Order: sequence, then C-alpha cells, then structure tokens
Amino acid sequence: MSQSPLLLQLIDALRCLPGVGPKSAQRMAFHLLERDRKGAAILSDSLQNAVDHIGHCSQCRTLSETELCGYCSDTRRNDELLCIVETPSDVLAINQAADFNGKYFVLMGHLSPLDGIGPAELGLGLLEARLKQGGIKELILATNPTVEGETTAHYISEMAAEYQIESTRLAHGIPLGGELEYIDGGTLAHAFSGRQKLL
Amino acid sequence: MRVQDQPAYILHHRPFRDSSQILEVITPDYGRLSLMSRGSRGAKSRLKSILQSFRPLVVSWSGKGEMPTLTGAEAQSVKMLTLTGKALPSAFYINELVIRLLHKHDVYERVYYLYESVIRLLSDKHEIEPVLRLFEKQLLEELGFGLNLSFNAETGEAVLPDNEYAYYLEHGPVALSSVFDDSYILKLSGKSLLDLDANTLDSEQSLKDAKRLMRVILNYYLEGKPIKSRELFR
Repeated sequence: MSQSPLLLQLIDALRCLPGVGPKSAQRMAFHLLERDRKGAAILSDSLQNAVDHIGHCSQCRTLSETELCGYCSDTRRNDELLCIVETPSDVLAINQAADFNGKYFVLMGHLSPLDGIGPAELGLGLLEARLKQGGIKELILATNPTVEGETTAHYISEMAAEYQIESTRLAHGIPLGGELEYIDGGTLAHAFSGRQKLL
Repeated sequence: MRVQDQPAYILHHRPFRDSSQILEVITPDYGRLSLMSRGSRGAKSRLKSILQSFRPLVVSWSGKGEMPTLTGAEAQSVKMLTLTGKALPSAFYINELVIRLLHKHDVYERVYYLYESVIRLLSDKHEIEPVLRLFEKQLLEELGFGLNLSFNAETGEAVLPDNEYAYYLEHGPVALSSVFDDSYILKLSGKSLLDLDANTLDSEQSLKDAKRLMRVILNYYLEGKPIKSRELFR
C-alpha cells in the first residue's frame, strides 16, 4: 500500500457529503491538494468554525450561531405570523420566493412514529409554549405535501385550535408553466378541488 | 425472482443513500417485505408522488435475497384515496401495528385485504374509533391470536349481556362472581364483550370497554413496547 494514509483519510472523510462517492471524493482530494491549497485551508477553517459555533436558535430551532437567529431577533418582522417548516433550507426557500414578513419555526423533520419521531422530538413543546404566550394570529403550516407532512400539519393545527389560533396550509397546485396532461393525478385532483374564484 | 404487478401498500419508507429509499410494503401474495427503490428520492423522480403510504399501488420487483429492487410502481387508480385530518394519525397507528405484529415474509393474504379495507374506511370518513377496534380484533384473529369474547372461559357457557366478567389473557371472560384469582386484566360487562364480538360497537360504554380491553391485549402481544403512533393523537 503506497498511498499516503492522510490522503486516504481525507478521501474517506469527503465521502460523508451527500452525492459524493469514492471517485468524486478522490477527485476532490486531489484538487484541493494539487491546485487549491488555500481554498482547502479556508474550507477546513470554516468547517471547524461552523461545527464549533452553530447551534439551534432557542426560539425557532433553526441553525444559528447566536442564541436567537437573525429572523427571530429582527424587530421589523411581524410577530403575529408564524410559518412552520420542516428544515432550515425550507426557511431559505420561502424567504427567497415568497413575500413573507413573519417569523419561522423549524421542526427539523416531520412526525414519523415508525422512526421514533413523535411530537417531543420535533420540539412541539417549545412551539406550544409559544402559542400559549399569545400574540400569534396565524400559523402557516408549510410542511411538505407528503403523508408525514400532512400528519404533522394536522397535529399542529389541532394544537393551534386549542389556543384559538387560526392555521392555514400551503395550497397544492399546478407548477407554473406546467401542462395539465403531464401532471400526476394527485396534484391535479388537489388543484382541482382547491380551485379559486376569478374576479 | 421477478414479480410483476403485485398490489401493495407502503407501510413505511426510510431514506437510503442520496436518492434511494427502502420501502416496507404489504402485498397479498408475498406478505410483508422490504424493497429497495433506487433513485426515487431524486429531484426529478417521477415516482415521488406515487410512493406514498396509504395509496393503493401496483408494484413490480426483481432480485434475490432479503431486499429485491423495485422495478416499477403505479397507482392502482388515478383517483387518490384521501386521508385527511384525524384519519392520518389513525392510519399511522394501523401501519405501526401491522409492522410490529406481522413478521416479514409471513404470507397472510387476508391481512392485506383487511388492511386495504380499513384504509378505505378511514378515507371514507367513517367514525374512527370503532373502525380501529375492529381492525385490532380482526388483525389478531388473522394472525392466529383470535380472542374469545363470547364464551365463559371457565364453564363454556355463552356470555350473557347483563352479567359482569373478568377477562383473562389468552383465555377469555370468566363470570365475575366466580373468579379464581386476580390475574385477570380487567373487568367489563357481557354486553361490551358481545358488542365487540359482533362488530357492533355502537354504545359509548362498549366502545370504551373495547378500547381498554384491546389496549391491554395488544400491549401483551407487543411485549410491552409502547406504540409510538399513540403520541400523534391529541
């Protein structure tokens, strides 16, 4: 075995990334060592920093290096609207696409009893405490349109109802620029039953 | 081995690698089995919307060993069963029961049809509690743990609606007036026993008793490990 053990260790470590198999891990390792040592140093520093300092926001559970994340501490955001999402990347997606000025709550997953994920694992106690506090007028349930996502949304909407808070669910629809002919039956059925009035 | 167009429901799925998933399915001819579904979690996968729990599917697979590979999946009909609201946690409860009580590769054709019928009842917005109780009872029956609800386990006489009974695990009801020891699991009326037996859980008392009874009995067959899905009921 003539390969350097450190190199092998690096290749192995890179494979923890999604979408990276042995071949691409090898390519990445050689690229970093042969062509971009500076980039490699920056990467290693940022990784170390991120792992050491990023935790969860104490209010919305999203990834944050401060006690309160940027969204929760932003006083210009509307406290009366709370959008519930499954992952931090959903926060990003909604923030970029939708004109939403309220706050977020990140579940870090969805209810999935067979995987051992119940309400407690999703921090729903924290959410309930927040609903109890008052001040929230509408919960926007933006969990994924899967059975698990629907179940999670249903559970949270029942919780919200106990505190007389209105909850809304993202609409199902036909993608922009799509053609009806090629859309799967389920989406079309949902879009049809959720049709809206013109004018 | 290649299997074509087998009706199936997905009981559970878990991610595997970046874009694949492992499906736990229930089928009429092959019982419960795991299938590897390659690429179905990818951004462009056509199967994503089809491979959802509680949807009647037709699946094909091939391969030997523990985990064959899914080679095709279609919805049984274009029209989707829609489970909404309270039916959802109940349906997850059903899946958990089936996964925990039905062993892999044990073929019970009737369990498949029982499962199918209960999912249909839930999507038809039936009263949920009686549907769940009868499913629990019938599932145990199909798996060979049928309950004695109509005969006095001691005397062999028919259970009388107006009498009170003590229920013994694996045996059945014994008239409360002649119980031999206190190892029975609970006390209930003859009427509740007969209602559960005849699938007519109309009265509130019978429904409540059936729930108490089934809970203890299921707990026994599940070896005391709690059912996680119960946490989904508020």
